[in-house]
Amino acid sequence: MKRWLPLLGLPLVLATTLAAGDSSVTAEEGQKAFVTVARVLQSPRCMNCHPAGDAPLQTDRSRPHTMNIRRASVAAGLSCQACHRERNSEAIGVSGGPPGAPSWGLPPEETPMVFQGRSLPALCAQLKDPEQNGHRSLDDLLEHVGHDPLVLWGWQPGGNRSRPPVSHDAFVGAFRAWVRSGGACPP
Amino acid sequence: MKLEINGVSVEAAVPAETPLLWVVREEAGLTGTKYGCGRALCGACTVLVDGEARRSCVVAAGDVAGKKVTTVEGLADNGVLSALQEAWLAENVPQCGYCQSGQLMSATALLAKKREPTDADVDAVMSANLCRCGTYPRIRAAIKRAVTALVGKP
Amino acid sequence: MRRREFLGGLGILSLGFEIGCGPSPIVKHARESGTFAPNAWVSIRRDGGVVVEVDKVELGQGVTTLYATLVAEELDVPIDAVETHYADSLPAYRTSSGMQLTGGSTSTRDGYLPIRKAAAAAREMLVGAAATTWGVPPAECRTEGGFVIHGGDRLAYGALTVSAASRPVPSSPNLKPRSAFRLIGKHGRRVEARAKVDGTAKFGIDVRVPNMVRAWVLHGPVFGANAISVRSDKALALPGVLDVFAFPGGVAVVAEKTWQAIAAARVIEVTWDRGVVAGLDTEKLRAAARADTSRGDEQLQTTKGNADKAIANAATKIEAFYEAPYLCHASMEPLNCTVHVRGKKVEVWAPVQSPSVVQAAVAEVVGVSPEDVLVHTTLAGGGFGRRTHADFAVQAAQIAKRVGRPVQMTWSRESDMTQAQYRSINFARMRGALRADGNVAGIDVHLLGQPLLEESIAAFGDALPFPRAFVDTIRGLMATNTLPDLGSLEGFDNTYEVEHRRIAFTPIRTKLPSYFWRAVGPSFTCFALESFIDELAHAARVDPFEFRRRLLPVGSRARRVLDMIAPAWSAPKAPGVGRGIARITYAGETEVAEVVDVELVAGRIKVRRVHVVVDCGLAVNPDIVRAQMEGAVIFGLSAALDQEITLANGVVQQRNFDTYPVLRMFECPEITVTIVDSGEAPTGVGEPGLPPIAPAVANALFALTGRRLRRLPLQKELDVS
Repeated sequence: MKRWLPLLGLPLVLATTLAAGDSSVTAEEGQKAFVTVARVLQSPRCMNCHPAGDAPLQTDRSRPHTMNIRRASVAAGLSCQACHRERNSEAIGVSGGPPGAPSWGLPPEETPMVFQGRSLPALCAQLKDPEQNGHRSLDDLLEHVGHDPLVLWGWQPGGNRSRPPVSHDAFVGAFRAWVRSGGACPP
Repeated sequence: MKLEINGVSVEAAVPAETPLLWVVREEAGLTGTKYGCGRALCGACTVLVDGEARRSCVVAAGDVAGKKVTTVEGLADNGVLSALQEAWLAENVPQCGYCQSGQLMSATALLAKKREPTDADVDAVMSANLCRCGTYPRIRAAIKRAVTALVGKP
Repeated sequence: MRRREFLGGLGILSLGFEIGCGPSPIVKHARESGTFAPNAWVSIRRDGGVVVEVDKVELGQGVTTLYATLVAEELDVPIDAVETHYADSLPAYRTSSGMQLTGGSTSTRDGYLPIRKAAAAAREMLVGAAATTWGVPPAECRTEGGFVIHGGDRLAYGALTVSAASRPVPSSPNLKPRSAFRLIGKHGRRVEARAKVDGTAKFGIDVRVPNMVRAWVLHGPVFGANAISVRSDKALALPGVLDVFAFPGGVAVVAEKTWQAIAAARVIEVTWDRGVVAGLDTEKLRAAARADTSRGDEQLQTTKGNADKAIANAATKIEAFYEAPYLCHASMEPLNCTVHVRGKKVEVWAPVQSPSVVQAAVAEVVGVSPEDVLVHTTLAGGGFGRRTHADFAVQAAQIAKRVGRPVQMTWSRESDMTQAQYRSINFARMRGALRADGNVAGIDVHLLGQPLLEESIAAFGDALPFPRAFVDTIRGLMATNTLPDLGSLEGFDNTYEVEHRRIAFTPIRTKLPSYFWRAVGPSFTCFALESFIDELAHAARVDPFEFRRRLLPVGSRARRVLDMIAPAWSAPKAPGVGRGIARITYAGETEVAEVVDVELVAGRIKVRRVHVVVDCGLAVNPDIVRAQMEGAVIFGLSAALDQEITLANGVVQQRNFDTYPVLRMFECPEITVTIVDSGEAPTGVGEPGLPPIAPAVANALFALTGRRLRRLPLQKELDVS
């Protein structure tokens, strides 16, 4: 009987490990993975909807949206969906029109999830902070970047738009590693 | 497909991805909504879908099946102009008039969301509607006038 | 006799009446229809309805309200009682240098007396008819609310139509004195505004005629390109698509509905030839102009005194090189035209600024005479000069000729923007000198640009009311630089009293047609001149307002207008604000001065306030005058700050509003307009507010930053310099 007692602890150890990070991804590896994550988050396709200011950004030069479009536009009756539909305008034969994907829009004003201009440590801390990330767990974040249609659009943006610097698979892989490290942040 | 435009059911035998603009203009025969750029850069094509502003040149007709579409022709109520339309006349807003349908629809969406919009609110919505004749100052004045009329201030 | 035939016949009648020729057409028409129409503009129906034929196009400039106002005033009817009808292309309406044409800010100036006379003549005849009925002297009668009144007796206009028609048409009817005006000179609501807010206003793009088809046009990447090959099998298989064919300068996609034509256009493959301007490059044009050190001897417009000597001997000399790009019009309504060719007759419905030009051009394409082309003018969603050209009507006629059914041809925004007829690219090398006392010794101008008058005469073609041989002679003289191009040069020979001046022009001839744009020559010449005057002022260390004032004749309208803007010029301004001033005498008759306040916010030029003072003589409708000043300022500001049409290797680089931006509400300045009541006859207001805005902003930026921007658009120049 005494020989089996250590085995009772195994599920507990496993559960704890899965919740708090996979011991196969060290903090150092997680930080390194986060560098890749940040490269993607701060590339135009992602950063343009995660601006520092109150206006979304446009194009690979990440310029403030033309036509004075800002958060206040949505609040005052001009939603993103006025122009940005669930697919790029090319889907209905309009070449050079607005891009589109499901739920096109900025993060909520209370949790703007700013990528633009953030240092890596600050970006990392913001991502993990439930108060700033919409009360999401690290696994929730992984799910989001893995499957959210708006995120996926970033890799099939159409037009002349650049894609993020690594493939979506590589990005998810890096993100997963970061999550498994427990969200280790670069110093 | 069946569309509801200004409360009227319209049968439109068009492919689902046809831009709503042309369905409004050519299938429903409502020419108040205009083609200005075809790429949602000018706002001349603005309509309301379930009360929200939409650039009909980039909205697929199929997307609005089962929704309520309102065009400029639907702003007046049995011939009685809306407060915005009356304000537009009082301020002598239109010059050529081509952009004005879209301007009115955007302004309608604005006032539906903000009863008393600030100047910044007005700029944040109306700047997406182009006017080559330069009626912006009068549009601003007309919106203010309509707000006063609707809010009932002296 | 149908109304159109009747009105057409009136073309050969003056306002006089031929006695002894049997019943005149006027009488005949009244007896048959009950409508009294003593001339081609005013008619009164048996039911009392007053109809005025507006032989101009409503571009938004307010011409419909002008005509309704003038007629209602002289006829003593409420303005709401006047119906307006846009006149068909009948000979009677060829009153603009022998053509039916709207442009050049001429409608008020040219129509003010004639349209009033047309209505006053009708009134006089109605009064005469009533007076005869009562057996009283006409002088004892008055008119009010559509009635002729004598004591307790009254007769409605509608009851007098036949008897009035029998009376002689007065050639010089009495006009109402200014003191009696109810409408002229007062604010008034635009008469066509209601339709523009309720969606019922019909523009050219809204024309619907029975059995009509739609045509969408593909244009090649280079202007004037013709299709070498067209693959249309996929397109022709689509529902509603009727035909796809090449025609000179494009490929037509014809379908029952526009959306079908657009869908079809997407699946058509065209190979294009080199086009007319292959290789044309605006950067090369700029380089060539900068390198041109000639004096413009080709076309010397003016020499007064001896500018060379005056400049050479002067205490202070300055030289500056200004430039501005090609510009397109970008009206909100893209170019479109509906044409029906029925054998030897052609009918056209379109937003056009010159039915005469359309008649001549379409007639040539179809192979009929201009009189066989009937043009119905619709409302126009802006014009700015572009719609005086018939190029789009010619394309529609070419399509309609082949199709047979009425064809509504609409150009895409991209076609509208890339199919030439631009305001020319322009350069001006200015030299000037100051005497020791700070006054201007002399000014020397060398303008380079495409020759506007020469090119526009070519565009008008046979519509010009001169024998072809004469026109060809003039064109020859211009092409050989024997005559200076007064179109391009307009505005330099301005009101300033400068003793020694030389103004000369080197035409840049390319195959890219240039054309009228709002405020034509002065849209550039005012930028160069008013910037240069400012540079002279600063070189003389004299306040720019004061410097200009000294150059204007004492007692002149120009000086008076400038004095009226003095308070705006000297008003306190906040730190971080630069203030600039500029002025113009437009077409020798409308005076405008503008003061602007400008800020730089994160590198972006923000024009905060614009004060405009205008003397346009009597302002027939002050609110419309104000609207035209606001509109011209905003239109001009869009160009001054951000707009350019550039070509690289023959291809226009701008195709829609993303690359050809238009000023938007959030950057629209506060605009204050003061109308000077000079008591003079009315002059034009559509264009004069435009030219001063660019130099005023450039001058303000100099005051703010110490940097002189000599190239438009200003934001780009600021960013690169």
